[in-house]
Amino acid sequence: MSPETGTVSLRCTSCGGWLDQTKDPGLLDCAHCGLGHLQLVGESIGIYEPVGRLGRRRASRRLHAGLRERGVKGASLEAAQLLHVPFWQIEGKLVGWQRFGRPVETKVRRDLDGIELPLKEIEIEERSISQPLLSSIAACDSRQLGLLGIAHRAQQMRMRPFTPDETGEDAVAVVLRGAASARRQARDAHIAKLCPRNARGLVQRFALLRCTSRLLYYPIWKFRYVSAGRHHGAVMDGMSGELLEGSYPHVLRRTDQGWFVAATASAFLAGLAGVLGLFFLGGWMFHRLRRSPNASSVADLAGWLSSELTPSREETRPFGPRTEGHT
Amino acid sequence: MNLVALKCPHCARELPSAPERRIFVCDECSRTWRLDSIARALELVPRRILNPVRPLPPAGRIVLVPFWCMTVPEETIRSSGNRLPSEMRIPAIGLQRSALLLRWAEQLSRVRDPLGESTPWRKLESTPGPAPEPAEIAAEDAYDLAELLALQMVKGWPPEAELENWEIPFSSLELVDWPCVHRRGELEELIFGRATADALVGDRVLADQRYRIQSLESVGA
Repeated sequence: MSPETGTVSLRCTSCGGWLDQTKDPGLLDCAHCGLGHLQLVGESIGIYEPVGRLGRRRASRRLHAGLRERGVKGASLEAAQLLHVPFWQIEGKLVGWQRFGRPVETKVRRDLDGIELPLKEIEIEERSISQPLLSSIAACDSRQLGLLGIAHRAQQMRMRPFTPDETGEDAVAVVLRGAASARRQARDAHIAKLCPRNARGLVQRFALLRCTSRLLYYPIWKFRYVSAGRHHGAVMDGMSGELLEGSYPHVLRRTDQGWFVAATASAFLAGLAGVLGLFFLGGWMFHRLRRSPNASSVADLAGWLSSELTPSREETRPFGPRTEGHT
Repeated sequence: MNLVALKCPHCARELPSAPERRIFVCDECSRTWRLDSIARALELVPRRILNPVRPLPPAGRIVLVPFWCMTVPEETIRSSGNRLPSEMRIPAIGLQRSALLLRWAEQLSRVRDPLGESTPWRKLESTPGPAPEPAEIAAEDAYDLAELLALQMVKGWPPEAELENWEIPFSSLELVDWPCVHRRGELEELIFGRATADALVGDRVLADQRYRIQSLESVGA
């Protein structure tokens, strides 16, 4: 165990010192003697996790704070589990060329009536492309967790080597997508953005050079909590504490009754109690009945009336919108 | 998970590393290493210096630029209507200036003449001098670049629909050190006389190998 990080780390093959990560995902340097090491797993990839994830207590506090911000008080936590979600981080340089035709207005032709018509010619254009590529591709189904990609989340984070088999009670999502497939997807997604406008007969060839891929296990907290007797779930970014997915109870306060009471009171004060009171009551019932899902069922009129006249109503709302696309 | 220590398997000296570089050159014994095909250990990369055809200019630094050279199979050349060169020559440095790199590679690949005499580095073990330049571009990337370039050089071949995935079965990939003179903002190679801007190597300072090149004759090159 590393004394600094509390996780399993890799040791130098020469002096036994701890190995630190470098800018290169596959390269580790000994903190003691400085000897470089190539870290190779399967397809020569390194496996990492970000440093500084939220612990259980801090994550729970963040959840309660997040719920309070949304007006939910008195929620009690039932279960919390840390889940390590794998993402491929693909980095490289995309080099290639494109050849295509572009319509260019070159001449003006007059037709028989003397009307000018533009003549378009196709001009062949060839261009070289060389761009850095940095992309994150989910290695499992991360959409259900509210995450599509983590490229911008992980950009400023320090990483350390991670061993999926030694996580104790924490859950580790299974890697379903291989590195080659992730590289292809990252490459294709980038090339798709390079398609020139108004191009005709595009032919192209690209190579992804100096491509490095590393598997990054991103921490996610999954919560189950109870509020007002109902069960809810929440998914939290284990680094930033942002609530990504799940639901919370939201209390809707009714203003309809207030308007009704105010209208009736005004009518009484004006001495038009009978006529105006009935008019407002009728109008209000007609309006609510039309909007109610039970409007067609006369038998449920009593139920409808009681639900309409209760002072507040509770509904379940999802946490914030999904914030990120991949890359 | 496997860890491979970056120590020269021949002289046990630490191998200098740089991010994203997978070819390592020992400063002590001048041997070049890369990971073997099953990624368990380092294996030797045979390397040779091309003998300059042109006389060494008295001024300027004589440097050795690493190149990947690979042969295009006869059958592929025929299928392209004899428009493909027989050998692709790709500089193994300067990926940050890929446009310059590809232009120089195209110029040198278009020359049909063979590269001529060469001297293996192992013959120069006793000659004092700087180690060879580490290659920034790995062999796999060199294959990709060579394909990219070859398909750009020959228009209308292969069919457009297959262009994106067409593979050329190159053979006999080899890392060679190409003698060049570095002067007046240019790198001019000393075999065919083609030059490129020295921006290709960026801030990197290539070692002066004049003494080593001059000693090639004494080792029987």
